[in-house]
Parts: sequence; structure tokens; C-alpha cells
Amino acid sequence: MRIRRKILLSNMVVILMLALSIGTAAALASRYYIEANTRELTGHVIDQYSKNVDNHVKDFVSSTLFLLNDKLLSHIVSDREAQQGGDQYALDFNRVFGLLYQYGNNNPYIHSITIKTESGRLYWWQRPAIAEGDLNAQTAGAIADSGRAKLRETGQGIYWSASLHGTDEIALSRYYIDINQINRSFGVIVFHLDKAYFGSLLSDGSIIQADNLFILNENGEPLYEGSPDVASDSLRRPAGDARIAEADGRTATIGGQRSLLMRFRSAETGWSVVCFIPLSRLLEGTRILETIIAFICVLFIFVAMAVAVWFSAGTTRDIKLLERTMRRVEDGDLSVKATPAGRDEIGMLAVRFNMMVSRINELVVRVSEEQLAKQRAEYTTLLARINPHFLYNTLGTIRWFARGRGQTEIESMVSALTGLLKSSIRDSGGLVRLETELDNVRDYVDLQKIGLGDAFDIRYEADRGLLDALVPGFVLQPLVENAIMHGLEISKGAGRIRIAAERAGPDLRIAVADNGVGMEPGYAATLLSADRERRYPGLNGIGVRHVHERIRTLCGERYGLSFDTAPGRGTTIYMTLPYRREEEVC
Amino acid sequence: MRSRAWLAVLGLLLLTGAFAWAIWSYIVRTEQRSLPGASEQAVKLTWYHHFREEGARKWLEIGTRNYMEAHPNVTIEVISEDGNTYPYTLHSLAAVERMPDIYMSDNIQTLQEFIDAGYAMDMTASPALTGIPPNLLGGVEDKDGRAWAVPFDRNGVGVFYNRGAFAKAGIRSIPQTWDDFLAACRKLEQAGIQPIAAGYQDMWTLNLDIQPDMIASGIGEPSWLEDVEAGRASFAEDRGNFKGVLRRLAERFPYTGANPFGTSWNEALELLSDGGAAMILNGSWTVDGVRSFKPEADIGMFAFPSTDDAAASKFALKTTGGFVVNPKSRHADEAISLVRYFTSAEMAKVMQDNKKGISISPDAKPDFDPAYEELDRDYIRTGRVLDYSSFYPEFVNVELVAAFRNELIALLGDPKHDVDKCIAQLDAAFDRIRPRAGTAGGRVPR
Repeated sequence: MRIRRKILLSNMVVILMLALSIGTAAALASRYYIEANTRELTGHVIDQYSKNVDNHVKDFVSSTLFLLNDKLLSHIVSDREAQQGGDQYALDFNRVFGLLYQYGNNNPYIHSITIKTESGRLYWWQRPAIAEGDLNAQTAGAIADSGRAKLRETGQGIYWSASLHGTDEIALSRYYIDINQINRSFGVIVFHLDKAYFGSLLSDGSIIQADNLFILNENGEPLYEGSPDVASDSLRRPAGDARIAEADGRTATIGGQRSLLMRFRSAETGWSVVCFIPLSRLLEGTRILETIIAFICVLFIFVAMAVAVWFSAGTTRDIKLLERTMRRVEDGDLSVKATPAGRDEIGMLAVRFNMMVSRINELVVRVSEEQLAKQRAEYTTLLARINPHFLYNTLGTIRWFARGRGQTEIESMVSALTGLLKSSIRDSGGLVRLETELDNVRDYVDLQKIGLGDAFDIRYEADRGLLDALVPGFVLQPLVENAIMHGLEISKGAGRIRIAAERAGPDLRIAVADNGVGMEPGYAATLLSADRERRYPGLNGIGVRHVHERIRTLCGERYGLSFDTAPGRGTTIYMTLPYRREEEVC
Repeated sequence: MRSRAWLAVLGLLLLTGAFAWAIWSYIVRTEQRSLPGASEQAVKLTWYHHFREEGARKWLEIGTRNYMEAHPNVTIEVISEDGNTYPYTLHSLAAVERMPDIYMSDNIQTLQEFIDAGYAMDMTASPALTGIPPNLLGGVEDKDGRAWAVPFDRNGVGVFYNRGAFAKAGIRSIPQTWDDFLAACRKLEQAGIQPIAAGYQDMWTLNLDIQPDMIASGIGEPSWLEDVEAGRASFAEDRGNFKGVLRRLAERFPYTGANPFGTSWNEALELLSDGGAAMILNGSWTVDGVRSFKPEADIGMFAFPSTDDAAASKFALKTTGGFVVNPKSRHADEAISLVRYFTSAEMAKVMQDNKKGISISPDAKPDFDPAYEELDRDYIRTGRVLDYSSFYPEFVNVELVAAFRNELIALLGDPKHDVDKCIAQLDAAFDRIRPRAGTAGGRVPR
């Protein structure tokens, strides 16, 4: 698999993982927090609703004080008139009816009021518009007795319950206590109220709806049942009370729907407001949020993918360029260069590669140049060897010719030249005795003296013990030639050359000194440099430099030539060699 | 290479798990921090009282503040009611079953109906009564010896006078007989000083005005008021020397200034404090009331002289009903704890320093106020004290109380101050309210 594809693939995996994890986490978190917040909000709403219910309960109970404080009503209900012999029940009923009418008519939620005195007398009033549960002496008595039973059963003086005559109402039973002496009761009074007395507290649009609300009194009896369709009997029965309490803020299946069950128990009344909200309604808000999160995730994936493609292409562009450049180098093109698009690690790799190729190219050029120079030198040497043989043969003919004509000087000159050439041909590549080398120098000097006469003088100062020392052949002649040709002032005719050999420790030191014009020491040093050969090619060009190189090649780097010269003070060339008497490598 | 990849995947999974766990822990911790109920449960106590005097209110304020500081979860709402409306308020609260956690009672007689209705806790075995001598429980014990409240001070009713005013009028000794009393009134009047300050605008003061006389006159027959209330007796029978009480009320009425029914209790206190008036017939809380107007007022007290027998003149003292704890309170234990704090030596001192009441605490010192010098010196030390803890000189039924007060007002408004007519009207009014010789209605079952 190509690296670009790998990078792209890995980027895509990371992007997908990131998008999926962030999207999932966001969706879960939003759902969790919406549910938690809704639960909290519902708790607050129920709390508020429950407080409103408490206040309504307080208000209604307080309003009953108007009846208890009514002197005429209390007088009639206290049965004082009956005790005093004034039994006027019919009249009293009418007066009580009127009083109850005045009281009940002021509160549209009151459907009926029933009073039963301690002596068993019944009084009641019922709102005319109420269709169900018509009151008469029998039903009123049953209601009052039922209310009294509730009060006795619970040990309370005021008790809220469901309707006491089977209607869809709420009942409040209380003792008709003597407001001036609270340990005295005149009887029992029962109020029946419209359920809307509590239902009307719900505001439109509230999270609590009438159909998902239950109100249970302190004993778990239902006072307000929001939905008759909810078949959760346990929700209504006191036995289910504990279960509801445990389910506070949790989900439960109610009416076939998963619902959040919330309950608030009033510390004031002990009543419980139970509210169940179907999760489908509760989490309506999360649907939109989840859609938005999904859309953002998809968008993120697309954008991130595009960026990943662009990045991976950018990352591999220089790698591909480098690979193509390498292939051309493999093909032998060392002049090629990679131009990276960036300065990242891969870009720097390309730069280094360029430098490496450049160095290789340089090395190749140098090696080929050196090879060319070597071939050229070998060719020159070959030429040099061929020419002396041709000259030697020719010179032999000339020598015999001069002898035949009696030209002894010419014969002598040719003889010296021949000897020199012979020596040159025979010994120029190997080692010779110092004595032989000095003979070659004498031959050369003799030749030069024939031409130059007594323009210079030469002295040989070598111990006899050193004459059998081995030196590279044909190394002194170029030095002497150099002294004659360039060092001495021949025209002045007082040139002196001294050749001296001596031991210097394990070495043999030969000095070739002249009293010529001398030269700058810096210039002398250039005579030994490689450039010299390039500027003065040919046999003479080999000259001093080749002597120097030959000695160093044969004997080592610490051997060779050195100069002691200055303008006007002559030149002394020192040749340092290892002192050897046996044929061996230096 | 492959195993390294697996290790990387495993590491990534572990890292993801650890990250998810850390986030979840953070969420849970945040939610737990925000959950209510982590700290101690909040408790709110409601306390009703009928103290009008500044010192008494300060005493309650200091005590409740100290208690709330020591119990940060407790909030105490102290509700002050006017002395006139206090009984009505308690009855209304009982009628709607919203009785406070703590309320004040003056005596066991008025408390009885609340006991019957289940709004008073039996404190007989309560540690709140620990250390209180049995002889000081008269105001809180019923006939069976069960204590229904926690007393904290001793109240007295009598005559509270301005020493400077008496001196200015040339009265050198306090009146020991009824004639002395009237003579003193005349002297004061001649000296340009209003003899008696009556704050009848606050009508409870009228009941208190005659209490010293009713106690002194009726203590020999302590059940007469109860019998009249129950219809077993009538005012006409003149039990408890009640006619004499009314006569003396009428006789001293001319000395109560130009407009006693237009004078409030506080105005009466102010008159006494600055010497504008010389006497007030009321309870020992008068000292607190006077001090709230003039802390350095030179006042004293003496027994109401209802007869011409100087030796019979005794100062009427009783232990109060004290603190009543509602057993139906959701925080009854906390209410008991608060009551116990108010019976501590620390709060006894605060009470004496501010309310100027006579603490029943054994550690309390009697010399906390110079106004009590005569009471201590001339009555308590000499044994001239009339303990009326078991005698309640008023009616319990608030309707009867109102009717009784109305007839007293009528008597004082009658130019002739016809006592017999007043007696007849009292009987008639009472008969209208309660049947004679019997009780109507049933007891409220509890």
C-alpha cells in the first residue's frame, strides 16, 4: 500500500473515530442533561404547584372560619335553642341554608356544604347547577356520618378526601368547633368541591398537564386523578405509595408509556403531588439537538476528510519527487536536483540528497581527471623512452662518423650524450649507486661545458663511502640542469655548482648548490607543486617536481626536495633520502 | 509489530475508558454537590407570644438569635400578637389546625382547651422541667398534677407607682387600706398629678386593672369564676366578693384621667415613667414597659389594698404558664430544645435584665431592678405574698371574656356606676352565650 494511501487511511480512521465519539458523547450528554434539567425543572414546577396547592388548602380551610365565626350559624348549630326549648328546625334549616348559600355562592368551586350537629340535626346546601349527587336528608346524613368516620379514623380535626357520595369531587370534612372554645365541637361540616379547585392551578403550556397529575392526601388516598386511562392502580392505592416514593425522579412504565415519575411531598399538608411525564414528550427537545449534532458531525467529517486528502497529498508530494530524482541518479544522471515544495523533514531530506549527489559528482569528475593525467604522464614517459633509443642509435652513427672524420670533440660529446641517454633509458625507473648517478651528472656537465665553455665550475664533494649508496636513478641531473639553465648567470662566467653528499642520521642528504640569481622562497615552493607540471609539460616540465614526487613515492612522504634560496644569494636544493646500500625498497 | 499495535489499541481503549470514567465521576460529583439535603435538615419553628413590652421582645430576640447561631439549621419565626387578639389568634390557628410550634400561656386554665384539643405537650417528664421546684409549677399543672408548659418567671399583679410622684404629693408611705388608697389618689390629684394611668384603649388592661382586687377578694372561693363560666353560678350570687370589686373599680375610675378609653397601654406606661401619672394597676411586666420609656424611672410596687385591713394586704404572685410546645409540631424535639435553652441560667439573666421578670431559676438574683425592692423587702421576705397560681381571675371562653369586658365598660360608662345593674347585665350576656347550668355541644374528639 502506498504511503499516501496509508496516511490518508489513518487520518480518516482518526477523523471518523473522533467524529463518532464526539457526536455520540454530545448526543448522550445532551440527552442526559436535558433529562436531568427537565427532571429538575419538573421538580421545581411540582414544588411550586405543590405550594400553590398548599396555599389553596390553607385558603379554603381558613375560609371555613367564616362559617365557624358566624354567630347565627354557630348559635343554630350549637343547638342552644333546642336546649332552651325553642325547637324550630324548619326555620333553622332555612336560615342555615341561606347562610350556607351566601358562603358557598362566593366560591364557585364549592358544590355543596353539609352540617350535622352533635344532636343529629342535618343542614345542607347544594349548588343548583350540579347535576350529579343530588342531596337529600339521607344522602346528607350519609355524607356527614362518612365525614365524621374519616375524622375519627384519622384522629384529625380537618380531613381532605375523595368525594363522600361517589361523585367526581373533593371533600373536606371538619369538626364544627366552637371558635371561642376550641375543645368544644358543635358537629361535623363537610364541603364538596369541584376538582378544578386544584386543577385550575395548572398553567397552560406547563410541563405538568392535568392528564399526568395525581394528588394524594397524607394517607395516600387519591384526591385528584388526572387521567382515568392510566391503569396503574398502584399509583392510586396507598399500598403503591411507597413504590412511588422509591420511583421519585426515575422512569417507570405508566399507561403503557415509559414516563418520568416525579413526586413532591408537602411538608405542610403531607400531601403528595405525583406527576408522570412520558419520555416521548420529555425528550422532544433532544430530537432536534441530536439532528443538529449529527449534521455537524457529518459536516465535520467531510471538511476533515478534504483537509486530510490535502495534507496527505502535500506530505507525499516531496517523497514522490525524491523517489523520481533517485531513479534518475540511478540512471547515471548526477546533475539532477530535487526541488522540494516545503522545508519539512522530507524537504530537508531532498536538500541533503541534492548535496550528496553533488559530492558524488565532484568525486567522479576528480577521479576521471586524475586518470586522464596519469594516462597522459604514462604516454609522455613512453614517448621519452622511445625517443632516447632512436636518438641513441642515431648518436651511435654520428659518433662513428665523427671518429671516422677525426672529430674527437664531437665524438666525445656524442659519447657523453650517448652515455647519458643510455643511463637515462636504463636506470630512470630504478635505483642506482650514487657513483653512477654522479657519473651521469659528469656526462651531462661535460656536454654542457662543450657548449658553455668555462662559464661555470662544478665540484663534487661526496665521501667515497657514500658512493655505493643507492639513490633513484636520474634524480641529480634535473637538479644540475635546473641550476645551469635557471640558476647560474652563464653570461657572467663565474658560475659555481657544488654537489655534496653526506649522512644525516639514517638519511642521505645530497645538496646541489649554485651561486646564481636565486629566487623568492615562495616561488621555490611552487616548483614542487602539482600546478608546475600542468604549466610546463614535457620532460623538462617533470624536472624538479618529478624528482621530488619520485623520491616521495619511492621512499615516503617525509623524503624529497627542499630549497634554500633567496634572490641574489643562489639556490641550494637539498635532496633527502634514506641511506641504503642494498637494493630494497626505500 | 502486530503485538505492538494490539498494545496500542488496548492502551487507547484504557485511556478512553479512564477519560469517560473521569467525566462521569465529575458529573456525578457535581450533581451530588447540588443535591439538597446533604447538610442537616432545615427546621423552621414558629413561636407566638403576646408580649408588647420592649424588654420582653428583646429577651426573645436575644434568645432566639443565640439559639439560631448555635443551630444553623434552625430558623425561628417569632410572631408577636396584641394582648387583646392573642386568644382569638390562637383559637383561629387551632380552628384551621395551624397551631405554632411554641406559644405562650399565662395559666393552666386558659391552656386547658388547648390541652383538650391536643395542642399542648405533656411536659411532666420532660427534662425541660428539670431543676424547677414543684411549688413553682402551679401555673402549668392540671388537677392531675401533669405539667403542660414550662414556666420561666413569676408574675405579680398589684399597684405600680412612681416614687417621685408620691413624694411630690407628700405621700410618705404606701397605702395599706382601701381608704388610704383613695386618700392617696386625692392627694395626688391635689398635687396636679394624675393618680392612676389607665390604658383602656387596649382593653385587656381593663381586665388586668381589676385582677389584683379580684384575686384578693376571690381567692377564698377560687372556683366561682369557673362555675359562672360553666353556668353553674351567676354573678348575682356575688361569689368571690365580685360586687365589691366592681364598686372599687367604679370608685377609683374618676382618678384615671380625662380619657382612659382613649389612652393606650403604652401611653399609660409613659405617663407613669415621667411622673405624669402616679399609679398603674396591672402586672409586673409594667416595670419592663416603664423602663422601655425611661430606664432610670424611679418606680416601685405595692399590693392592691382591697380592704380596710392593712394586714390583709398581700402582693399577688403566681408562676406563669410559660412555654407550651405543640405536640403536633413537625419539629417538636427542636421546640423542646429551644424551650430548654430559654430556661437556662444564661437566658434567666437575659430575661431579668430585659423583661424585668422575676426568674424562677435558682441561679437568678432578686436585686436585678430597684423597682422590686419593696416586693422583696416588704412582701416576699415578710411572707405577705398571695400565691394565685391555681386561681385564674378571668374567664376562659373568649366570647365570655369579651362579654365580661363589655359590661365592665358599660359600668364605667354608666354615670351612676350602678353595680347591681352591671351584675344583671353580665348574667344576661353570659346566658346568651352559654346555657345556664349545663354545657352545650360535644367535646372535640382527639
